[in-house]
Amino acid sequence: MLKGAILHSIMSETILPEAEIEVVQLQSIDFSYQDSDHTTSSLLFYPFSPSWIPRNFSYAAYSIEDTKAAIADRGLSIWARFLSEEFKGKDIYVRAVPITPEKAISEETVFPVFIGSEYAKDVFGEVEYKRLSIGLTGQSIIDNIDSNIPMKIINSKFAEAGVGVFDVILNWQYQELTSGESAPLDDKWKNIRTSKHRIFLVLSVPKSPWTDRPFRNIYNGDFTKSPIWTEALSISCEWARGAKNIRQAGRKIADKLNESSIFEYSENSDYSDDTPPEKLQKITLDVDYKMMCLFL
Amino acid sequence: MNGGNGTSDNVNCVDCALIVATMTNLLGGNLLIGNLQATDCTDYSLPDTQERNKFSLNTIKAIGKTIEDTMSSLGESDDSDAYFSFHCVPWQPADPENPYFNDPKNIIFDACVRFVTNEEDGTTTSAAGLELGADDDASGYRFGLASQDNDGVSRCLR
Repeated sequence: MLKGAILHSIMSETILPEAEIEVVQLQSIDFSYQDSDHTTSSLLFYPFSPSWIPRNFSYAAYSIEDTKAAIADRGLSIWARFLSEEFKGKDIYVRAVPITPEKAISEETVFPVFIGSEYAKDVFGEVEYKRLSIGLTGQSIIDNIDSNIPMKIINSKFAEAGVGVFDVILNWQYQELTSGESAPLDDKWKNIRTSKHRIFLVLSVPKSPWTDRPFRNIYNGDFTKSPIWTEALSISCEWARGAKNIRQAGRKIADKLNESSIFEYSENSDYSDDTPPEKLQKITLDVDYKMMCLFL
Repeated sequence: MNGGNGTSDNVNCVDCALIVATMTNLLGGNLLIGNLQATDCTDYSLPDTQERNKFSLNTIKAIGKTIEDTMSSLGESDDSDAYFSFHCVPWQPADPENPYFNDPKNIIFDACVRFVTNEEDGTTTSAAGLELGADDDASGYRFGLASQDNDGVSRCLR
């Protein structure tokens, strides 16, 4: 009963009394930040950014192969920003514990189907507690400068899960420092708020024609990119769910495509006169639309 | 990107290969696209290219079609076998540093067709995740796709 009530509160985003929320505010979360890369943080994709702000949800995407070392070395990071009037000039502890949602995180996702499971929260891991300083402006600071605070994601199980897409809710909490304690106490955590995220897991960094970051053309100086499309990422991760290697992933995708009743063979394709990017865009539209119909 | 339904349901082998390769490569795959055909000629405006390149097929089921419709649309009749004038497939190179399409150890991921294992009850098996295989490799992709005679399996690789 209590668990159900808590989850209901979480999903409706009215979990806490307003007065308690005001003590410490979570302002943003970045799953990729400044010079971070796909070995220690999220891949980049289009048209969304792997960032969260209040009253929204966010996407993040991780390469299983490329984050292996970071997970083993506790090097996987996110960056969060906090505001607190009450703790100006003081230090506090913050952390986030994962919760598996009971329904889709939003009806507005590009792939609005429930993607969760019993083990979703265990796959993502948890955001390790961190002691941080609140500046005189009320903002979280590093070296007296208002800053996003890097925090470690620990106990992630990306490799065990394989390819997939799942929703996770992070329950953010804070704790005042008490004299004589060198670490936070288990029974002293207070809730800040929750944040909702859809997590994609791919086997390794996407290859041609995809790239997650723009790169500068050495001849004309222009930035060039073929960004990862969130729609395509949704479908690929769902179709190849559980794959642990490329052979498994390719077979799952080929079989799903063949069996999905989306297309019919014709020697004369309606896409064949298009250049490859246009062709792919048309195909993606078809797959996306029809996949949604299949699942709704 | 949010324009709703796309253009059509009709796809050919090139489209299927492109979808599988791009979706798999999004997950970190290194799939390439290649054509199975008897010669190097790809100029289908020449009158004899189709005849020079074609290879005959085993019984297969094309995406979205019945077995009967597949075979008749590919030219099967009382007088002739079904055939492809070429067939495009996505493949994972056995040697990523030196990818070579004819390497029998390459892995093929064909979403365009399934192999028919029992014509009477219509049982089919996946044509994806198989090694390209040599002419006589019964577990290979080519052996499943092309007929086991002089017009088939030996002609579907140039």
